[in-house]
Amino acid sequence: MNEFIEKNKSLLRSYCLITRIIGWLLLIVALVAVVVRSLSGFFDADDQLGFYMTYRLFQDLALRYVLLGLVLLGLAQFVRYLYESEYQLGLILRHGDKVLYLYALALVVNPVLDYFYRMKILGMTYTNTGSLFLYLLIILLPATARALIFLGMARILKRMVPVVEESKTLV
Amino acid sequence: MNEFIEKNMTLLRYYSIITRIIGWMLLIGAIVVPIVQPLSGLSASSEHRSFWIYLLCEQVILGYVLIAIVLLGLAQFVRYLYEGEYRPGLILRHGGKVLYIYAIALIASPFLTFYFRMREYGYAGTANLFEYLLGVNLPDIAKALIFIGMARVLKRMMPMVEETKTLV
Repeated sequence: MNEFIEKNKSLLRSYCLITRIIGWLLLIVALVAVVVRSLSGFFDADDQLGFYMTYRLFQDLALRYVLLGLVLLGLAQFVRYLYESEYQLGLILRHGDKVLYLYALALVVNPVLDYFYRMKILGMTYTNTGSLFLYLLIILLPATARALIFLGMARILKRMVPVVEESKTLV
Repeated sequence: MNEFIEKNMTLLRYYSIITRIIGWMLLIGAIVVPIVQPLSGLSASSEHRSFWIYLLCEQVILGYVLIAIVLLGLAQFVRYLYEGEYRPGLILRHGGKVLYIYAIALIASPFLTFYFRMREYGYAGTANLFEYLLGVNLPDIAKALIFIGMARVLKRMMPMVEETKTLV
């Protein structure tokens, strides 16, 4: 493990830096989006469609920006933990598997919620996602696939952290 | 490592089976979707046909084929973890490359969408390229970074797993 880290130190350092920048950018963009939308009166609408748009915005921000940002910052902490001997586990990394489970869960729940919101509450129908079969095939199947990838990552992370810790204590 | 595998054997086995099923379903979906979607009238518009064809290709390649290959590779990796006799499959042997390709496709896709939208509609949905890239491409760059990280971890994990298998 140590040999691998020594060989790839500069690469890991650059990767860690970029990952942190993008992670923070995602969180900042999410915050800016909420501020800008609230200033522009986006949240003032009080009809069903207005609520739906607000719900979609928060759903989008939570999934594509906040949770993804947290996953990325956790990944940066993991990489830093790999190559910096003095670095202690950060808060996100200590709960890394939970963050990944949460992200995986959100990936699957999100399209299901969206479907019920659109079809049942708003009564919308779309040609391409109107039937349940097509909806499951086009939206839910790729979402489940992504969720499975993140579940696997959570399991691997849980196993990897003690291995890294062990390799640090080896003389 | 072996203790971890022993403890989580059932979980790993179920995970591997589900991952393989979803992976193959996605590959089947990659064949079914291009057939079903035009029939449902989504790409019937002759006005912007090339844009719809591009969107369909993007959806099939990025949303089905590549992710299915990643998933099947993950299933092979998990199986390689818990089955003593199992040798790494073709996808797992090139797992790093598959993950890098997926990462590149994730970054390239919004640029291509922007290009096709501008060509077809003259407007990409936002005021300028910067806003578009910030809104659309940033999460994709984030996802790409995750997959690049996975590729690095996989490269390191494979010899480790091999090593633990040879330990008595």
